[in-house]
Amino acid sequence: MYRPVRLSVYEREYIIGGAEASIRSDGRKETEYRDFSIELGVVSNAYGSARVDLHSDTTVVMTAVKAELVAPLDDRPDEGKVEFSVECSPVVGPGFEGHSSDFIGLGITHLVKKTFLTSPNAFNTKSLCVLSGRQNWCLYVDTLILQMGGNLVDVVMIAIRAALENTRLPRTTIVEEGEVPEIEISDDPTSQIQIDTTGIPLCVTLHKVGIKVLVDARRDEETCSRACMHVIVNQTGKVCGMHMSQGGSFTPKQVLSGVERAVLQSKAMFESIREKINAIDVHRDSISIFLT
Amino acid sequence: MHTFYTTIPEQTHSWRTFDTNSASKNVSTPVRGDNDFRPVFFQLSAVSNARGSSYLEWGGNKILCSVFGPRENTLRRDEFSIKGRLVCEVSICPFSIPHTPNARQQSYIDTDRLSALLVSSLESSVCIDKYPKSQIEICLLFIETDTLSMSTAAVLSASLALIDARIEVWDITIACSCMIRSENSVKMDPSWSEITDSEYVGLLTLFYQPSLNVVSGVECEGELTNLQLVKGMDSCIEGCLQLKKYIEGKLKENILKSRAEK
Repeated sequence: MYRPVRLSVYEREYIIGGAEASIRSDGRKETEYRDFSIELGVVSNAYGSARVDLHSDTTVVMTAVKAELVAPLDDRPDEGKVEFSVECSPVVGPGFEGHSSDFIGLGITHLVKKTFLTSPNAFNTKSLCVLSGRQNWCLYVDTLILQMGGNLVDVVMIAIRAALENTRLPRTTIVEEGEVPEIEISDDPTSQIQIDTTGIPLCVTLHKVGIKVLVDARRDEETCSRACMHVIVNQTGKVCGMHMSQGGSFTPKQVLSGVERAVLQSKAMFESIREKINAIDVHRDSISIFLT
Repeated sequence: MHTFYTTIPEQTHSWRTFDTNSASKNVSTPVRGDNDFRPVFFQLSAVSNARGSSYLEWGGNKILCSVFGPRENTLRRDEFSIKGRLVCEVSICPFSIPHTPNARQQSYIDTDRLSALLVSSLESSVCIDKYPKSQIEICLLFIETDTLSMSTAAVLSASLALIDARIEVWDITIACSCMIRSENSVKMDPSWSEITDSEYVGLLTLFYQPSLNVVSGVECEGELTNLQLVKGMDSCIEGCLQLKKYIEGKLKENILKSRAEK
């Protein structure tokens, strides 16, 4: 889920030594997160979309949500579906062309899919029910990685949450004429349904650089890290997924303190996403008042 | 205390052979306490062509694992690395799962995910610096599985095969999983049928290296509070230590036996 950059021995020493002395090359503290910006509604063909931009050493990720009416599974007649996919585009940089970038996208897709599959409250699939047993909404949440500046998984999760918060599904009415009930989809843009996104978790990735554990690593820090842990936390502060990659190891104490830190960090992230989306909404409302 | 029920395949019979009237009889399985593991059985050098191999039975899992190498690596020229590397290939027999897996089980039997997990959790225990420019291949075959505990059994069988292949390792990687219930109680080594418990909150799988006291991998599911996570981790570590003791004892026994035969 990361791709190393070429570093000389001295650069490596500088980054590791700096991390151990609590000095990071961009002046942040160990627990400090980079600021990010969110843009909503960037894809006009989608039902909802978001573009998340992690500042200074940019990671840019775009997520779009498409919806379709599909027949549900036989054993779950009143549940809709959500399908996730993460793709890494070759525009990210040299070395990402062809199949080599597929692994990055696949790794993150596995992680996201598994999180939503195994944590019961992550997404309320019952809210996607239109006509039980016949037709329910299926959401396709597609994420595209556009630029790589480290900390990819966290940004992907932020983008997924923001895009789903931006998603508006058309209102449906069931017309019972004759024997078979029919679904009517309204094309009125003012009456749309927003989906429930309270359960959607965020990810905090911790990297072990030297003897220190860093939050929100940049690409060069990721290259120097010996172990990496993804902690997935939801809005209530509960851990709904953990995963280690990159082959290193943490001591049990580091794991537990890392989880504690991730829970704290995610709280701040949930708040800042909320604030940023509210700011966009207020801005949009003021524009629509101006237009009318 | 954790207890292990050890059985040897040659001495065991399927309950079906004794079952004359299955409708009237209740098949009694030994009642397992919260701290008990399912039976563990293993045998080394099960594949004659491999450099090292193991056969493991743990709960509903039957795994054959073989290790090849160290041999010249198959990396492309531009991916050159001086360090050795671990390669892992997991395959699952089509008859290994008794019924069609549901979406959640499908995520467990994903062979790509399993092999990535195996490599990342074993890599820190193998002295890959001692095998420069070469690769060590681990091949796993699931003959039977209960889907949930696949990763734990796979890691254990792979580290046993590594030991049998005399690959230099820092430590043996042992995996252990536990189910956490709503009132913070813990059940060790759950099977797929046991996690349908109404009080199920989450599942924690830990890949642990006991002598170094480090965690080389962790998988978590469900929704856990910090307290539940601490509790789960403590019991997983304790379970791993117990498993290690058992495995060490068996390995010693093996060596003594082979010496006596010589």
